[in-house]
Amino acid sequence: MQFNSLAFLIFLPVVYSVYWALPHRKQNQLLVGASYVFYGWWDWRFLGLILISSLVDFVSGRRIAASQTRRERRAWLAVSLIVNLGLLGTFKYLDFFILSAAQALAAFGLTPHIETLNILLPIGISFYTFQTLSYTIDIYRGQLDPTRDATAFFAFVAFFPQLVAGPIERASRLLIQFIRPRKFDASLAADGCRQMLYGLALKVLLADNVGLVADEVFADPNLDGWLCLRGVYCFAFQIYGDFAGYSHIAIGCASLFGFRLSRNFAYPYFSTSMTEFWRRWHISLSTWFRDYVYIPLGGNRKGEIRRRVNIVVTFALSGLWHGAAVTFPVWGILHGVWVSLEARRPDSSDQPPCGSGLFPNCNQALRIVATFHLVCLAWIFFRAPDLSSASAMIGSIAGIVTAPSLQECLNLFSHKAFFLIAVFTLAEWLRRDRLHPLESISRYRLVRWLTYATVAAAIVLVGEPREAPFIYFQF
Amino acid sequence: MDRMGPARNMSPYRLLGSGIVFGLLFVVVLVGLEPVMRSLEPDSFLLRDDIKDVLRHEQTLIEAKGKIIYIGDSTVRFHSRGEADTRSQAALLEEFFTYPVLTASHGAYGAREAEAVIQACDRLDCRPEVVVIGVNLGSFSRAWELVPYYDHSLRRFCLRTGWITLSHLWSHLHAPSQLSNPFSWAERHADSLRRVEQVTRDSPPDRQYMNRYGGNLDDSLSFPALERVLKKLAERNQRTLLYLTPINFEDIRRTCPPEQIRRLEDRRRRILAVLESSGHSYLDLSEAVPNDGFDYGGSTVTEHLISYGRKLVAFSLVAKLRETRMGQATEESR
Repeated sequence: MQFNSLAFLIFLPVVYSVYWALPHRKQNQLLVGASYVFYGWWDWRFLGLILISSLVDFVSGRRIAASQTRRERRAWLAVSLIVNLGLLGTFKYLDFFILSAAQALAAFGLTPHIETLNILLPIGISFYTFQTLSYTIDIYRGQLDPTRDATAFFAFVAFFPQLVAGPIERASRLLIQFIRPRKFDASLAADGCRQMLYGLALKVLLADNVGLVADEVFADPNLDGWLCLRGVYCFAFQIYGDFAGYSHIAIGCASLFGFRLSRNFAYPYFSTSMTEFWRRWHISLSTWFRDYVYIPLGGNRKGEIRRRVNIVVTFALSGLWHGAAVTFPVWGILHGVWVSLEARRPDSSDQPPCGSGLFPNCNQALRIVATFHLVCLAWIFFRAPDLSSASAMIGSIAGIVTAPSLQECLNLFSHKAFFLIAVFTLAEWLRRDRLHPLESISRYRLVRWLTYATVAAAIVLVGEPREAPFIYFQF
Repeated sequence: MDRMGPARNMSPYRLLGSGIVFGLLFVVVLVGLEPVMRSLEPDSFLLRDDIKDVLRHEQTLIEAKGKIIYIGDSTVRFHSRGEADTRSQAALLEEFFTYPVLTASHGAYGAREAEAVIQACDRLDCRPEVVVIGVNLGSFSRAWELVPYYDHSLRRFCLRTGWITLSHLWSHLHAPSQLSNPFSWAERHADSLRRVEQVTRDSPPDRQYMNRYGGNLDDSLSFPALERVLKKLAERNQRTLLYLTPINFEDIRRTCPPEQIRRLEDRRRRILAVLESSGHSYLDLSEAVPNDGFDYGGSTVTEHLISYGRKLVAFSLVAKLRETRMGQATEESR
């Protein structure tokens, strides 16, 4: 079920109404049932995978905690890792590896008769397997006690607002909220509604509109350099609007049920360095890779060279997590190299980017522009169907010899996509000290409601009502 | 966290009530915005392309009194890239018949869109002298109806109701449900959908032809729409000329197996039977253009014609219009 669908518009109020009429344990049971309906709406057969993943990790978690020996604990952790990564590997990467092996053999002059299995990727599998893996790993590390409450655990794995595309929550933060009784917080729920509205605007108004330009350009990478550049800018905002939009809707939706999910995006395109970008972009995934890959690899504890290598390896794996194609690890490695070359900086993702002034200073402005363009360069690999298309596109952009006139630049904003990019960028810049731009708009109810009505009207009238699933569903 | 919103002790159902009130008020606001949307320049970038087309169609219908309205798909306005003669089918008809012809056409318009245009005629009290409708045999295939680019549901809703703002709301709620709903029509026709995905422009011609002109008419949403639009035109006492647009029968007979050809001929026979029983004038031009009259720029399987093919069709239409004395009254009075 998509967030931007009629089915969800009926589903959400019904679940919400029943939920708050039930006692705590029944609330959790309802959430499990509702989440399975939500997920099964795409294809009920995928429910089997989520059930296997939940059951294995529930049992493994309990067995790890009950084990007397280190060996036994390791064996149960291995069960969890093999099942989860096995599901992920089979459904997401098997075809890719079969094809890669065939290509490698072909390079040596062998022509193997290999057929791919054409396995359909279950929606959200990368997200819920990572979430449930963090549970067993944390128990193994002694950082978390296993739960005895199976309903709460199954609800934690399948919680419908964030099941399909995150944020990837840790058990220590989300599972505990399922175990404790929840009380309705009107303020939290009302802000959740606002956040959902903003998320919907990012998706339908920004991402789906600029996506039209991006799709057109990436379909023909040999276009004129300026057109390619426009397409890359549009894709940068498409993927931001799409994914940050989903995260806002997920967080807002969870708030309606009394849950607080982690922030996943903190105005990443205003970052002044690549390190800062990754503290503001897909925060839940970055911290997952930091805690479960980068730190176990040695983190920064084994010298400067090893630190840099660890960063590149972590980002390469992060790239592979995004998709089964060569372009994704390349995208990850590029980011890894850039981040590893930067000096270490303290985490500042809780602070608004560039302080609270109306304008950035000259240094900040230059750094924002440079960081954004590096990110855009990597997005070409992320979006292009293959390396040769990405190279062709970079070649076209590099071939730009004359800058457009000021009038040409201004004319760009009479195009709907660029007009919307300008509006959203301005709104986010001016409201970057808030969790989302619709938070705490005015003390006057009339102003607030007029703003919400304007945003909703813009979504309906200017938004692109096309069959455009969220991009991150495929990851 | 915003502390400017509701009190902390507010009940969840009061918040739900506020949401419902907001939703209802929002619909009222949308209705209020209708004149604002209609006052925008027709080329404003704030208007979606399909809404721009609907506004153009409405303008056409308002100006249609005493003229010919030509409804159809891309074949109506097509000319090949780089062709010396750039006159479209509609332009040729106007020129040969020496009679004003207005078009309400767009790529992939089928019977459902024709029905919506006629409903808009009712709404706008439009009385064209003659309505000409091109009926494409390919438009009754699942392959056609399932292609997202060919989905004109927003245009149809807007043409039928005349509400731009509400049709936006409807299309937002309608569009994403199409494929993500297990009870949806798309899911029920999953086999057809998979077939559509598997057939591309690189597939062998017989598979492409099968995809375009094969399939069961009873599965088609356009076939019942064709019957409805014919009935509607008869009720309006509208002078109408319908014709089957040319398809490349010569190539089909050469490349497709007999069973497939038989199915296509069955389809044609059933559609012609519906046209016959409607009492309107009609022409079967499905075999009127030979192999070399088609434009193969886009695809092997095409209904697009080069200038020579378009002229053949235009001559046939003019002859039929003259034979049935359609458009004559106004021509004489001019």
